Amino acid sequence: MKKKNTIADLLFNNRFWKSVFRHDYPDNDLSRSEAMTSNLFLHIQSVKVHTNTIRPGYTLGLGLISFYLFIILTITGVLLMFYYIPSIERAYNDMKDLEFAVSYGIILRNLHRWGAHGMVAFVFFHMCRVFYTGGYKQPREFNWGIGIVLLILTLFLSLTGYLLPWDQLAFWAITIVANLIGTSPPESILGASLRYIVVGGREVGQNALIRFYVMHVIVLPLVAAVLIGVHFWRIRKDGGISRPAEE
Amino acid sequence: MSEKDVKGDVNNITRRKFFLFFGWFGILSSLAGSAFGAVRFMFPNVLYEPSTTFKIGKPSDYPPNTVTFVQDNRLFVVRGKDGIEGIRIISSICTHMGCTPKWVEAKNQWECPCHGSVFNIKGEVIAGPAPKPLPWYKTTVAPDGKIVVDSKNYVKPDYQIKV
Ligand code: HEM
Ligand code: FES
Repeated sequence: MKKKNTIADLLFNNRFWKSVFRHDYPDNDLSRSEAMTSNLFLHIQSVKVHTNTIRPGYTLGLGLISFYLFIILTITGVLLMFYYIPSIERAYNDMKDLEFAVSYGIILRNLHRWGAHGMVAFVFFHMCRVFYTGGYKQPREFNWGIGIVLLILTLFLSLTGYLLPWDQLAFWAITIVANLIGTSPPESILGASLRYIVVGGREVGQNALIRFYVMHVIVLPLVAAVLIGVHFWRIRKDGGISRPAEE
Repeated sequence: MSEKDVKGDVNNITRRKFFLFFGWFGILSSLAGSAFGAVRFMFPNVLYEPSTTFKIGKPSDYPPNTVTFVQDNRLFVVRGKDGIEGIRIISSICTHMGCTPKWVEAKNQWECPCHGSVFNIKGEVIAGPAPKPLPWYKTTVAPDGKIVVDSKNYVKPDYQIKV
C-alpha cells in the first residue's frame, strides 16, 4: 500500500495494527468480509445474511437482548463477588454493605437483580418469538432443544441466586423448593436423596448456601456460556435465521 | 472377510477387536467410576447440624392453657389444651412445604402463611394443601427437671408429660 499521510493511514497502516488485524482497512467488499471472518468474536455472524436476520421486526432482537443481559449479569456478578462472602454469618450483612457502604454497590446489585429478572422474561419472550415465526421447525429442531436447556439453565441461575442474600425471602423460598424437590417420586428413595444432595444435609443452612453459591457463580454460567456458543453456531449451520420459503 | 467371519465363531475375535474392546472397556469404566465418585462425593457423611434431641427449659416456663412457640427448635409447647392437662410438643414445620404455621388463639388452630394450610388443636389438617397432620414429638423430663424433646420420634396427640 502506498503511504498517504492521512490520520487513518497513521493509525491503521503500521506494523502493530497489522499484527492484530491482518486485513486491510475495510473500505471495500473483500476487506469488509475479511474483517468478519478473521475476528473470533465477529466470525460468529456470517458475512452475508438474509434481510430477515437484520429486520428488527422479525426477531425483535429478543435473543440478542437475552445474550446482552447474560453479559451484563456476568460482569456485575463478578464485581459483586469481590464483596459477597457465602457464609450464613456474613452473607446478609455483605448484601447490606453492598447497598449502603460500598461505592456504586447499590447500582451493581440492582443491575444484577433486575438483569436476572429481565433475563428470565426475555429468554421466555425470545422463545415465544421463535414459536410464532415457526423458527423451531426443520432443520432448527436441535437448536430449539438447546434453547430449552438454556431456558432451564436461566431458571436455575435465577433460583440459585435467589438464596444468596440469605434474607427471610431467600430462606423460605429455598426451604420450600428443597421440600418440593423432596417430593419427587418415589419419595423415600429419589426425593429424599435429591433433597439431601441439593441442601447438603437435612436443614437449609451453610451447606445449602455454599452449594447454591458454587452452582450460581461457576457451574451454571459456564454450562450456559458453552451452550450459548453452540446455540449461535447452530443458527449459522442451520442456514441463518428462519424465513419464509423463497418464491 | 472370509466365510469364517460369522457370529459366534471364536476365531472371529481378531487382535484388533480384542484391543478395541478392552480399550473402550477401560475408558468407559474409568468414566463410570469417576462419575460415581463425583456423585457420591456430593452426599456429605458428617453433618454439623443441631441434634434432633434437645432440651427446651422447665415445665414451669410454660403456663397452663397456653401454646408457646419455641423458634430455635421449631416447635410449639402445648399445655392444658384440648382437655389434656399436661405438656405436649408439636412440630411447627408445615407438612406441606416447611413454612411455620402461626398459632391463632381465637380460632384455636394453626394457620400457615405460605399456602394457607390450617391445622386444628389435634394437629390435623382441616384446610389447605398440607398432606399430613403436624407430628407430636416424644417428650420426657431429664433428671435436671428440664423437658427433653426427641424430634425424630413421633407420638399420638394425647401423649403428654404430667405436670
Ligand atoms: C440464554 C438464553 C438464550 C439466548 C442468549 C439466545 C440467543 C439467541 C439469538 C441471539 C438468536 C438469533 C435470533 C434472535 O435474536 O432472535 C437465537 C435464535 C434462536 N433461538 Fe435462542 N437464545 C436463548 C434461549 C432460547 C430458548 C429458550 C429457545 C427455545 C426453546 C431458543 C430457540 C432458538 C431458535 C430455534 C433460534 C433460531 C430461530 C430462527 O431461526 O428463527 N433460544 N437465540
Ligand atoms: S408450607 Fe404451609 S401451606 Fe405450604
